[in-house]
Amino acid sequence: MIRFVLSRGIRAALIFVVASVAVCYGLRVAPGSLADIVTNPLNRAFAVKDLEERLGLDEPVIVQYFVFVRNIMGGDFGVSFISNRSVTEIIATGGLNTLKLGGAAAILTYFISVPLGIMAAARRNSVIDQGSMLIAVLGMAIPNFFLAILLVRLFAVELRWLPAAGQGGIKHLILPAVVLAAEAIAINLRLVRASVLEQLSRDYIRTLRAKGASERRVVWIHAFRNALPPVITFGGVMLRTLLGYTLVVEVIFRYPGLGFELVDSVLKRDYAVAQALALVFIAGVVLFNFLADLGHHLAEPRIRERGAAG
Amino acid sequence: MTQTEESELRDTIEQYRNARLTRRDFVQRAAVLGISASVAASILAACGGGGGGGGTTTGEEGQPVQGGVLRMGYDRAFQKLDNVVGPWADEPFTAIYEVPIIRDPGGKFVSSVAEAWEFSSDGLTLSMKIREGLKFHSGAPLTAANVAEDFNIFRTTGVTANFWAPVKNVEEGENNSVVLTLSKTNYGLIETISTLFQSIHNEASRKAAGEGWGATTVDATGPFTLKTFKPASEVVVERWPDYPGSGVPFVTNKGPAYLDSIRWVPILEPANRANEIETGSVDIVKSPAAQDISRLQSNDDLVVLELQELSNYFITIDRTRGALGQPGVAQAMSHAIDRQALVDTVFFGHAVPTYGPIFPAYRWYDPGVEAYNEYDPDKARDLLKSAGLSELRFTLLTQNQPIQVQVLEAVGGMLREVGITMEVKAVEDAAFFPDMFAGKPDAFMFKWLWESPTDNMRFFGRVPSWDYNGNPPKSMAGIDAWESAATEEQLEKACRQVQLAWAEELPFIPLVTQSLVWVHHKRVHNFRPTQTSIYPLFNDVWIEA
Amino acid sequence: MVTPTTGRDLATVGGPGRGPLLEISHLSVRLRMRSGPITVVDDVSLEIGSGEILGLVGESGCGKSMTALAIMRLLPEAAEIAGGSVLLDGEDLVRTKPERMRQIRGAEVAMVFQEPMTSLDPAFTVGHQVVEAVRAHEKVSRAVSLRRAEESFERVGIPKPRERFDAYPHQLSGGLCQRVMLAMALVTSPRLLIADEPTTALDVTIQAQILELIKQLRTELNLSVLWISHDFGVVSEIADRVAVMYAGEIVEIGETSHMLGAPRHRYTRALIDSIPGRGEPRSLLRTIPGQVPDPGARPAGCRFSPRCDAPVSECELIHPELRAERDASSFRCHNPVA
Ligand SMILES: Nc1ncnc2c1ncn2[C@@H]1O[C@H](COP(=O)(O)OP(=O)(O)OP(=O)(O)O)[C@@H](O)[C@H]1O
Ligand SMILES: [Mg+2]
Repeated sequence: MIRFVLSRGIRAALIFVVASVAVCYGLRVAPGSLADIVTNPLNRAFAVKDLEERLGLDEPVIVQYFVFVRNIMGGDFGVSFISNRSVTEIIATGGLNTLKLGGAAAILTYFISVPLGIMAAARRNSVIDQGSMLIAVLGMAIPNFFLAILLVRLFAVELRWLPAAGQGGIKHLILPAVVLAAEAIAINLRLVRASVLEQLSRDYIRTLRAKGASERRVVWIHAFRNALPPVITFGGVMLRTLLGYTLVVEVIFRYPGLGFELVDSVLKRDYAVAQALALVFIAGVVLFNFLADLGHHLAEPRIRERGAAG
Repeated sequence: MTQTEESELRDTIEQYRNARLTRRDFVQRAAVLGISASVAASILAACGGGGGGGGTTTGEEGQPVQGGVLRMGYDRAFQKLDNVVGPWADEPFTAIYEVPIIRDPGGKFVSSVAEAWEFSSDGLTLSMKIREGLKFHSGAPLTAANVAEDFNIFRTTGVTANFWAPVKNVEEGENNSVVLTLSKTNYGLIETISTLFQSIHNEASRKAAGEGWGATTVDATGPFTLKTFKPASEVVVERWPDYPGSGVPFVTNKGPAYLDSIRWVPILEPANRANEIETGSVDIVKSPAAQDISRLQSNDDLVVLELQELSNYFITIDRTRGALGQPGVAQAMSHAIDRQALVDTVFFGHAVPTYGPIFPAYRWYDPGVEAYNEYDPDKARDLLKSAGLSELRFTLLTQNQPIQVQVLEAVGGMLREVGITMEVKAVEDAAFFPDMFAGKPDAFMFKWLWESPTDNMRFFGRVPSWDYNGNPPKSMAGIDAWESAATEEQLEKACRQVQLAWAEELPFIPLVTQSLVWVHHKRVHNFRPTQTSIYPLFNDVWIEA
Repeated sequence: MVTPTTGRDLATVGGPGRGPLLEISHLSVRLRMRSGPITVVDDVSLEIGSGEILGLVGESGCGKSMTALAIMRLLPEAAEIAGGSVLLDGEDLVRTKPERMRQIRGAEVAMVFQEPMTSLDPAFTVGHQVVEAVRAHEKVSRAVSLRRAEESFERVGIPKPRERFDAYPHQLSGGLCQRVMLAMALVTSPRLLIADEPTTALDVTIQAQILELIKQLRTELNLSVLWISHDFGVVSEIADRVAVMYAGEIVEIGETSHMLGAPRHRYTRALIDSIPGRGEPRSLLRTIPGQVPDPGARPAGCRFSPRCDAPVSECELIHPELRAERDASSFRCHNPVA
């Protein structure tokens, strides 16, 4: 177990170093420049030159990278050149918002897809099964920005039950969380169903039935328990995907989370913010992968065994 | 405007309201009365009539109430509210800053921070009298010395410093005035001085704020002070209780603002703008998606205001490239384009065709341009034939934005009708600007957006590093005349001259000017964007509790 | 203690309580295939007396497992009981309600399967799984069910039961797993145990131990057993009576010793001949030529005729009926071994 955590930790650190180089370099050599934010051609030249000097962008990229690393090591993520807010503060407030949204989406995903997926598997070809497969197909087929527009029209504009955008209480979370979760629900629903179905065809299920275990126990405890590893492993992938989708969903719903801030900072070439947020996102991805591995590790006794032995 | 003009105009307005004249009819009739389209447009705005729809009126009636938060949906992400080196002037500028001179709804220059100004008889000295008793948000008094200091910053390090080139010296004069010494006559300097990047600020505070200027701190003279600046999510300004009152004649509230605060949120996705105002999560939005406008107009809770944006879509061809340089080619292309069809199809009617370099609502718009570039495919074919061209083929570069691409698809089809093949290459901004500035493409399309339309002609008409346009003589003579005009009359004359020359020679081929659509909730009063400024003033605005 | 029921005439079977524990009559199982239904268990009648071990033997694919699963009503989704009855102490399992059937499973009829490793839930400890078997039928405390599990473990010869409780199936050997399966099957004291090739996957010594164990339990608990195997050798060691199955039907049924000595059906004889170390010394391992016909493509006459070493003319045309002998054995053959 310790070895497992340690080896993954080292791997994560390596990924992180590579990512920091990629992010720092990528942002600067990517096509485009500060000039892009100055869309008015009349005042381009001045503004760009001035900004570049102030931000040290006239230095070579290598120098900029080491300045960046030195600052990060010192816990200094810098300051947004647009808002002058410290990047740490942006990460903290945006992070909390994204955590709320992502958490809501994750809860929604599992609370819908797991029970529905199990029911669909347990009653194959029933109305529940067909209904949930329809949900799955729709969830995968409808692009999330389109779903967002549909839901906003229906629930915000027509019915006026929910706000169309912005940040506030639970009400503000519902639509973005649903949109964020839609695809994850769809994928997870299929996954849970397929995984439970696969388990239901296993020999041990017959044994359970042969000893008189109730169908509910067979499906909801045994089949589900064994169907978990792929679901958990996918959970990491899913959280990672959710993280990626926050970029779209937060912008559409004007929800001030990390995704919103990242999109905004990249568009404005707010390097300090963009770099730090990109790293936060990478950290998120690395962390979710690690959690998925760990979950898989703990969910599957055989793997746990091997991990402990070797 | 004279008394008679005004009364005749009143009648026309009545007709517009009762008989539901279309906007176009109205503007035309107003033009017959000798009233500039811009005045007509601002009247229409005041009537609340947008494009012949809605017909609802902005509630001028009723007593203003103090208090309340105005929630504004903004169509862009915010940049730092920096009047000196900020890359973009966003809406809150007009709440927290004031410019020295401002354009009234008719386009006339009127007082703001400067109460009067005067050119010397030789046109080489401009003296501006600064209003007495002004102060900054910080409480520091504002005198001519501050304004002079600001002007010197603007002309050396400001984003529009190149327009200050004719100014040799700026210093404080007698009697709370500022004196600008010019190296040559340039009445057009007033145009520059009345843009948002010449907003007056307290330089001492700006120095102290350093990087925080425009983000954590603004010390200026507008009726609101900066409270929160989180560019990705919100910008909040609060009423400045000590505001000494506006010097702008068309602002009626002479005391502090009515609103407690204004909160802007960026709504970047066009399709969401209508939704957000319909659900009431904001009180005002700008630029809803074109397909949503008619729905918004039929909503009884909302008022839709439609103005001509201070912008224009145009195509420029590089006349140094073979066939594109043949005389008559630009004119052939122009005649081949059915601009009204573009307006109807791509913009759902929320745009106007432009036959000259400036949109029709501009106060010095010369309708004479319309004779030059009418839709006439036969003429286009003849022109090509007399240029000795049986076919013409070129590549055009554009920004990869939906509207741009749609416009060009339509234009491409129209050009094909007369035997011109235009291949469109749509790229991201990051690739567009460098290539465009380096003169790489055969042709490009762009939309300018700026308070002073003539500046765009100066800029896109002749940038020495580009070999575009071949310096068409009459147009360039017109620009010279504009740049050396000594009086407003000369400026107007130059403006008309350049428009007609432009329409004939086509240094760039104008296409359409999009509408600027504002939608506000009926509980918002006195929200009056004008045809001549990119943003409205907020001191008169009040909101029902 | 009841003596093994042998040589009983089908016709003389009495009413409930007095008759056999399990009485299968004319049981048919059909598989729904895309090409149409296929009968995989065809008109099977069997009975098992109290404390009796009945061997069910036949080559792979002949329908033994389907028969067993039909008794348990645990047929795969594609299969269904097409007819017949399965009377357990007079109660027809084919027609009983699902919930009642659940109560019967484990508590009255238990089953162990061929693959002990995959037949246990890999995600739970074996202790948990045995306890679960108790608690599926009896509302007893955890402590009581643990003690019961412990006893059951001891009974099937698992040393230090408590220490094994926390093991996961993959941590145990195949033999041990099969003992756990047995412990789990027996923990609720069922009256009938269906053992579907429980020793096939195990090595010979373990197999012998298990066989010994079953025999011992039969005597101790008066357990009835349906012992399924494709190996006549194994069956002959344990069963009181043997039913031979071929292509979905019973081809011969009778007392074990009888059958070993004097098989009537030629398939039975072939099976006996293929027991290692039996039959003619020169062919230590005689295999039956050919293959079991596909359930969808069975010969019209005797299903064994294409592989038979002594077919007569009727064989190809007429499907032989099950003929009862005086000694209560019966067989299905036009040209029986003399
Ligand atoms: N799920 C299923 N789908 C289709 N056919 C099946 C299925 N299960 C069994 N069969 C077929 O049913 C017939 C009887 O199978 P069964 O499992 O009862 O044989 P068996 O005698 O137990 O053989 P073995 O010794 O291999 O276990 C075979 O022909 C088999 O191919
Ligand atoms: Mg079998």
